Amino acid sequence: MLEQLTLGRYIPGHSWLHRLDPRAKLVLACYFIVIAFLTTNWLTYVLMFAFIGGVIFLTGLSFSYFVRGIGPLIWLIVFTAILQLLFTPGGHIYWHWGILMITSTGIQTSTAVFLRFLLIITMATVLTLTTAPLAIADGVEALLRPLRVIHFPVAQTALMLSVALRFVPTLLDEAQTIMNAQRARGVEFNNGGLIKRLRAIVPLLIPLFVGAIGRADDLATAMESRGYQGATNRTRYRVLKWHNADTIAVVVILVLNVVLVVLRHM
Amino acid sequence: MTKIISVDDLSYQYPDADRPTLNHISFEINAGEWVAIVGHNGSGKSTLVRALDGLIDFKSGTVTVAGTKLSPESVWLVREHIGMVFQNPDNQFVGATVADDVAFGLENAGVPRPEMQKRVQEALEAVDMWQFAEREPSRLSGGQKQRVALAGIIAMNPSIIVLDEATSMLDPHGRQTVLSVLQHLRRSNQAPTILSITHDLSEAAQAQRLLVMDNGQLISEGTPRAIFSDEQLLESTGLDLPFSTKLSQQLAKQGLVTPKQYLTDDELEDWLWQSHLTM
Repeated sequence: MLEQLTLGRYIPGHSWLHRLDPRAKLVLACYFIVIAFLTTNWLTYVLMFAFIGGVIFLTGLSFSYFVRGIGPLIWLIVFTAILQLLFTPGGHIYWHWGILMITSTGIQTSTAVFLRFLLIITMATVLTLTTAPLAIADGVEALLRPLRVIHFPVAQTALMLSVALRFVPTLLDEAQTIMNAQRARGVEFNNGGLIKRLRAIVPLLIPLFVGAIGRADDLATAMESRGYQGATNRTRYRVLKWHNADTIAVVVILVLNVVLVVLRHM
Repeated sequence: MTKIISVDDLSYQYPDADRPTLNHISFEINAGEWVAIVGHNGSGKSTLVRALDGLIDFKSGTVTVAGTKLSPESVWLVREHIGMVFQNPDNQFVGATVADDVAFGLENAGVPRPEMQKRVQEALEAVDMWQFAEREPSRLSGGQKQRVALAGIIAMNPSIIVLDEATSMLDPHGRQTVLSVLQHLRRSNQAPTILSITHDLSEAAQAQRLLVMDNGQLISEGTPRAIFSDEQLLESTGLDLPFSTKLSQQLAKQGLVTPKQYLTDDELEDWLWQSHLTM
C-alpha cells in the first residue's frame, strides 16, 4: 500500500535523457504538452507518437515502466473519452438515446482527447522516470527565480521542497512502524467496508502527525545551530549546468513544433 | 590554560514547568579539553548545552563562549564557534544527499563554491564517508548518518564540538565508529574542545573530566576515575558504571591494580590475560 505513495518513480540511469539539465527537461516536457494540442489530422498524431516513441527509446528504460506509469490513469482517460463520445453533438448522428448520442464529431473529439492524453501522460512519465525528485526541485527553483522580483521567497520554497522530499522515505518508514504497532494491538487496516477502513486510518495518522511535528522541531533546532538564518547571503553547493545536449534538445523540440504546424495544414 | 566556555549562575525554567530545569549552574571548560556531562534523563544536561548555543532563551546567568558573551546580538557569532550533533540521526539531516547535508552549514556561512567543494570532501574523508557522498539519508545506517552530521561540523571547523547524546540511538558498532572519529579528531591539528552529553558511562570514561548533573544542578565534577570511585554519588544519581570499571574496582579490592586509564571490556580482558605472565 505504501509503495504506491512514493513521490515520482525515478529510475536511476545514465542515458542521454537522464543527463539532461532538469530545467531543460521541465520546460521541454511542458512545451511538448502544449503542442500536443496542435494535433489535428492523423499525420500529426503519427508524428507525435513517433517522437514520443523515440524519446522512450532514448531513456534506455524497459517499456514496462511506461506501461506501469500510465496504467493507473488509463481508466481516467478512457472515461473522459467516453464522456466526449456520448455528449458531443454535431455531424452525422449514428445512434442516440435520450441525451446520449454518438456522432461523427463525437468520435473525432473523443479519439483526439484519448490520444492527446496518452501523449501528455507518457511525456510526464518520461520526466519523472528519468529525473531525480531533487533535480526536479532544483529545476523548479531555477525556473521560479524570476519571481524574486515580486519578493516571492524562492530560496525558502526550494529548501522546503527539498526537505519535504528528503523526509518522504523517513515518514513512510515511520508510518510502516506505526501500522505494525497498531496491527499488533488489533487494528485491521485491510478489512471491512470503506467507513471501517477510514476509521482505521485515524490511529495511524495521529501518531504520524505528532511524530512529524516533533521531527520538524528537532530539524529546526539543528538548522539553527548550523547557522541557518533564512535565505540571506547563502551560497549554493549544488549548481545546475547547461550543456550542449540541452541546447540540442531545445532545437529538436522547436523543429518538432514547426513540422507539426506544417503537417496540420496538409 | 585559556577558558573557552564559562557559565556563571545560569538558571532556566521551561514556561510550563513547575521547577527550574537549570538551577544556578556555574562551570568553566578549558580550550582543547574533552568534558562529558553525565546525569539521568531529565537532569537538565540537554537544556544546558542548548543554552550554550543560544537555542533556549534563558533570563538569568551569563554564558561566555570563546570570549564572546552570549546575547541576542552575538548569538550567530557564538554559533560559529560551536558545532552540535544531536541525538536523532534522522532529524538533523537537512540535505537530500550526504554531500548536500555536509554543505548546509557552509552554504549558510556564504562560503564560495570551490572552497565549499574542497571542505565537503575533506570533512567526508575525515569521517570515512566520502564514497557515500551521493547517497540519500534513507540508504544509510544510523552510525553513518551521525558521522555525516559530524562531517557537517568538521567542515565548519568550530573550536567546540557539542554532542547531545549523539551516540545514544546507535548500535555498539555505530557508536564505536563515531567515537573513533572523535578520538582521531582530537589528535588532528583542529583539536577541538569536546563537550559530550551521555548517560553511557563507558563513553564518558573517555573524557578528561566529568560534570555530574542531577535535578538541574551541577552536583559534582572530577576525573572519570574519581567520579567512578564515589559509590555514594553514583547511587544517588542512578548512574551505572561500565562493567570493566566495576571489575577493576573489585580486582583492586583483591589487591590487583589495573591500569589507571579507562579500559573497555575487550581491553581489560586483553590486559588481564597478558598480565598473568608478568605477575
